[in-house]
Amino acid sequence: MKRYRVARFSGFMALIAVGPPLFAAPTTWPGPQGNTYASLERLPDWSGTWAMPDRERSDFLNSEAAAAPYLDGYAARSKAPVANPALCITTGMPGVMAVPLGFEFLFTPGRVTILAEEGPTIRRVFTDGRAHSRDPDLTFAGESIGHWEGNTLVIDTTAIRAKSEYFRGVKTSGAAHVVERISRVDRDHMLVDTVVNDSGALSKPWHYSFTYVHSDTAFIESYYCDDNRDANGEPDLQPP
Amino acid sequence: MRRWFVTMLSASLMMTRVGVAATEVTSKWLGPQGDTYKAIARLPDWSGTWAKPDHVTAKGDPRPPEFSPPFKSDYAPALRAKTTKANAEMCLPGGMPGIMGVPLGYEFLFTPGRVTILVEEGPTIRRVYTDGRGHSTDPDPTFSGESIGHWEGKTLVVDTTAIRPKAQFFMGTKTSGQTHVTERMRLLDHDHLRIDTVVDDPVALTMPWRYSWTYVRSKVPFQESYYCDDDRDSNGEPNLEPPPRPTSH
Repeated sequence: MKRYRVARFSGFMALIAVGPPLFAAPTTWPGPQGNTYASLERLPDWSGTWAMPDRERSDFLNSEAAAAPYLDGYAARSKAPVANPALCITTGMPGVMAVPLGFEFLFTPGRVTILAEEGPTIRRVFTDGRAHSRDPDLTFAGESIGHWEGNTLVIDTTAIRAKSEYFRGVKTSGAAHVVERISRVDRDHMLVDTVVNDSGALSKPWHYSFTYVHSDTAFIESYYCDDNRDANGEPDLQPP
Repeated sequence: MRRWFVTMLSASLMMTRVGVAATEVTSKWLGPQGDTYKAIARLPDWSGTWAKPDHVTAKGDPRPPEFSPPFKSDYAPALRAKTTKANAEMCLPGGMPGIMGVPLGYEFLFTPGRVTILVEEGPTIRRVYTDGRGHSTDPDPTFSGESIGHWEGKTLVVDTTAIRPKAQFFMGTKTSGQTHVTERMRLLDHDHLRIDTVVDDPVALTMPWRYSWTYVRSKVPFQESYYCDDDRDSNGEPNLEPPPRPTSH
């Protein structure tokens, strides 16, 4: 409990210290922000399915994740023996964006909705000019406020619950603050550039990037990882 | 960890198998179909969060369907004796058509050529294609099924097939694998959205099952879906710790 309060407090400090104005009056950004259907027409086309290739995932794990500037002993201390996906719950932010499965980006007035196959996870990114809430509930997806800088979507995410993971069971501290800059670099590639601040876990901001690939394969239904029981709720060992 | 890899493997195998080309573009519907953002601007405004009030279920609406034998003999006693667990008890989505009757939150996102229905329970994502394509020739059955929609004026008509038999009509009562659902969705007024549903299932039902539900526009923003496995501690054991008490500041 005490740790939770400390985390919340340091989260608050981190929020003041970094990123765009928070707890402030709604900001007006130049250029089309997609607040109306006419405005959405002027934004880049991100339709279709996007996938994080296995290769990107392994590069991420080998280099980027290994280079995370953790506070002394944090990774070992916070790493759960069982990672969220093995417990059938979502990885949460920011790790869910680095899972080698499918993603979709839906643009509707004032919002970009990111659907991640894992979980499934639904990220609601508000681009209507609102600021972060004063006292948001902590969730796996966090609270995301976005704006467009030309063809780049900038997303500021806070209120990430401490059960969310960086990767493979290493948890966030409850104070994680994630800023993503997402842009379509060419027809087939989407660059996700991420900076994580987490005063409870990291000694300095952690900056990493990876690339999604456009997929011609239609999005399939997310797997439900509890889907291995028979009608009585017992493990179903019948081969398919 | 192993379970994760197995799941991932099967997910990627599925991805290579799917992507079957839609059979053909069957028809051209009159009026705006939302193929572009400009066309979507001419469709009705369904933005915001919608909730299905509890009391509709409590009043016993809809009446239960007319099950055919052997579904009647299989399911009626099973339901009474509660020997069949409902999907929700196993942390699975209800699937179509039962998922639309859950008294939780719904969202409708209009993007070019598609309406996406987000359901709090599951969470479940229904992708309704309104781009004029027909049903696939050999779709994989899923909890959501394959949904093809079109607009008739201000009414969205959704035709859903390829529903896997593990999907439910309602609590614990499974579909047959042959279920075909037609929904007609329209705004009654600014705050009420009505869905008229016809469920056809030549194996499980003796006649089409019809019912209507009204959803209410909610001022409460959508909350994160609950993850029903979220009751374990970091070792994967059931977490019996009571939630922290609110702190006084």
